[in-house]
Amino acid sequence: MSAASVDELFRSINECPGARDVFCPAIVSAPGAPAAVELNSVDKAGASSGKFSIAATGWLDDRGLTIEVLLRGDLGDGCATGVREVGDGMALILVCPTAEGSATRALLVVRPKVVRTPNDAPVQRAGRAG
Amino acid sequence: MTARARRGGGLSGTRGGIAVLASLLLIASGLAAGCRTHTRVIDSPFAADDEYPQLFWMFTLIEVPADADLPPLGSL
Repeated sequence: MSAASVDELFRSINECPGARDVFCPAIVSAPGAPAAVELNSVDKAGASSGKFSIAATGWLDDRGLTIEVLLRGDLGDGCATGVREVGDGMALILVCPTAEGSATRALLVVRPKVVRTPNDAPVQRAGRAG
Repeated sequence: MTARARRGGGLSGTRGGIAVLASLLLIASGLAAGCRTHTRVIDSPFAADDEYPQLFWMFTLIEVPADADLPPLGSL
């Protein structure tokens, strides 16, 4: 799977056999303040099959936006981006390594946006349906 | 004049309300696009009276097969 843009990344994921369960949460936070969201994977029968949590913090300075994101799942110890600079309109990909015995890995696409005015309305671009 | 009005809190609150509404619309748009989202925000310190700039986080989480050829960690 290769990608040169966010759109191309989602096209690649669409073509990836076996990819499933897309979650598209969005949260708002203040610069420097941590924010977190918890996700429950639910199968077609409505049973919970997994739990993830995402914790994110972003900082703004003269150089731009710096972020740190942590993804935790109930199958592994989780993984983090570390502190990384992110350019305007860019995305960051986080792939959690396989937990022992797990048939899947978690791929997280992080798209932070700095909202400077009420007119800076962001638009969520969804990936594939699960 | 109230303390909130003196510090411009009325206008800020209106902007915050717009941001909250935008958040709800964003999540709704994700649902409309086919995302099966079962989420619970457990820590989001954003408040209606917060000032700009704010950070809007859009996440997409996909479970992929363990043997899938994935891009390395990095930015696009």
